[in-house]
Amino acid sequence: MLDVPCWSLAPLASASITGATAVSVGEGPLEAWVRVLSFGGGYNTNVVLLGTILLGISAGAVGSFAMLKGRALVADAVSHASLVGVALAFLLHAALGQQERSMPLLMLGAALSGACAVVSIEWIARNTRLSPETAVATVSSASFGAGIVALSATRRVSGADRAGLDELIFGSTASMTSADALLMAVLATAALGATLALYRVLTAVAFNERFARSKGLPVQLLDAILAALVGAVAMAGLQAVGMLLVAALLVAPAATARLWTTRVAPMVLVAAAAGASAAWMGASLSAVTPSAPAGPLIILSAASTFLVSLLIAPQRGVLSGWLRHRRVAAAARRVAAVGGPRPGGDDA
Amino acid sequence: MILRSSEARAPLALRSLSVAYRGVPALWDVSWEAREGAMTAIVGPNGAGKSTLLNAAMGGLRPLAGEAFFWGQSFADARSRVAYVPQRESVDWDFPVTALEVVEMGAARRLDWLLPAWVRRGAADRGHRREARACLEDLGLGAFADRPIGQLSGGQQQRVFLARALAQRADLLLLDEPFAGVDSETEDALFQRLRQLCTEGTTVVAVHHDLETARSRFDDAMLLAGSVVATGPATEALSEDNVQRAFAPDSRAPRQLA
Repeated sequence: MLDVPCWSLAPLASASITGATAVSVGEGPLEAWVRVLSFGGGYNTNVVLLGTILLGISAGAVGSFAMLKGRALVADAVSHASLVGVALAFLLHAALGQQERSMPLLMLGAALSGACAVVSIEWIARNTRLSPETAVATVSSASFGAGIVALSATRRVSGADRAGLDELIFGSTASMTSADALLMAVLATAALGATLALYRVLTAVAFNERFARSKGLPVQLLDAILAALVGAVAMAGLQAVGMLLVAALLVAPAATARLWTTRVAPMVLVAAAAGASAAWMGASLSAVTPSAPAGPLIILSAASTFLVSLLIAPQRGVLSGWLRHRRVAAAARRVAAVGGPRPGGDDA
Repeated sequence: MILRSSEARAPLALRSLSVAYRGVPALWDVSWEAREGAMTAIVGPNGAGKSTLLNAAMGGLRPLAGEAFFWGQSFADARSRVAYVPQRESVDWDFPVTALEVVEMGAARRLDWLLPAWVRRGAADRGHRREARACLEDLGLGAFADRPIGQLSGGQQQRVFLARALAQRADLLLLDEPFAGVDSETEDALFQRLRQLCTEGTTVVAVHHDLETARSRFDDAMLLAGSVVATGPATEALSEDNVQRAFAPDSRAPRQLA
């Protein structure tokens, strides 16, 4: 993972790695990565890196509540649905004779179609006998299908710059300007701030909706706010992580954190840290490996943290479960052989 | 709206309440008043609408017709005087929360919810924590305060929920199957605690599944099977005759629709 293959260095000289040269002459790929990691990659690289880290923090925190609410998959639906909004916004923009790509407009399109997806999911889940899972799967794939169709329509538009569109699917920090990074950072920070401010109510509603309602909390409004926060993170991550992968950035750090913690506050903190480190690793690695888009690297980084946690986490980890099982099994065999003490007995 | 005087006094009064799920009636024309300071059991077969009744009374479901009054007020106006313990199954017991934190949710007053965590370091917050701890100790769970609820036994979890209700200092307790998964010793202790609350003036309304204890431990009972089969003193309302009628296979079809 640390080793950047030589072939990837070839295009470095001419690459538009976040506007600055990422690898200096005579520098090995590992050294280059360490330098970018420690914020020595130039102004634009640093701005993008910082923005992505903020995105990771925000995704960890928001994702924690989405997961606790049992709505982790909604992030997936929102991100899949955003494709159709992005493509339609692009078409509208082109039809108005605009040449330049407008990130805020694309984000607005994504937000609108994402919101449609959430509303449809909630409606299906509340008003039919179908499970929320089924609703999510149906809406998610249907809207992605619509997105592909709309995307193919953009190919017929000539003259307009549609280079950015494909990047929005898999994510790329390489083409991000510092203005893009700023937009991402502002959205991510807003979502993070709202999440922290609503920390208690979101917890109460996620834990026990009926009780929360009996205490007078506006449960439906809070559900909508949580969905909006998920949407905001998905929009913020559209460019850096890509619409297909941003859901994983919401889910993986939260799942990692749940393995290590038994209370909500530490869980949110650990999830934010896990999201930040995934973004930091992935984005910096991508800056020195221009052929590898940032999104997949960020997600792979988040996924490897999750995998390691799954193995070694105390209590909930696979390893600790296996050791526990072995200990109890050994005790049971001893008891069966010689009639020893019971587990939990005085001298067990 | 004109209230009868008994309706205006009763901790909970239902007037011709009907509720349906997707066009299928679950409750039909239920009129009933809870007696202040009494323990009432709501008894009935599966699907009789017992949980629905509590849920609809608190405005969680929109009734087709009818109304619920709490001391003559709507639930929204009276909610600070009402504590609710939902059914075990409606709760995610693997949620990362400790027993103490659950009870603190009961102690929280309306405004507290809006304050973010880092502002809540004041005296009120410490007060809530003390209050929550006292309620846990009241139910013999002092040693478990900092345990994640997932590590507690079913009976302990149920006691945590009751402690949360105590922390609300309510005048009316609405309990949905509070003794599910509770061993007989704990059940005994909980009944004694509830009885003590009643002598202090609290009204208890509990969905309950066991006919024996419903007759011996509760003052009043409502026998429900979609619509009301019988109400009154527990031993009378739950007479063999009435019970047989309520639990008969076709009892659920509301007579009005037949």
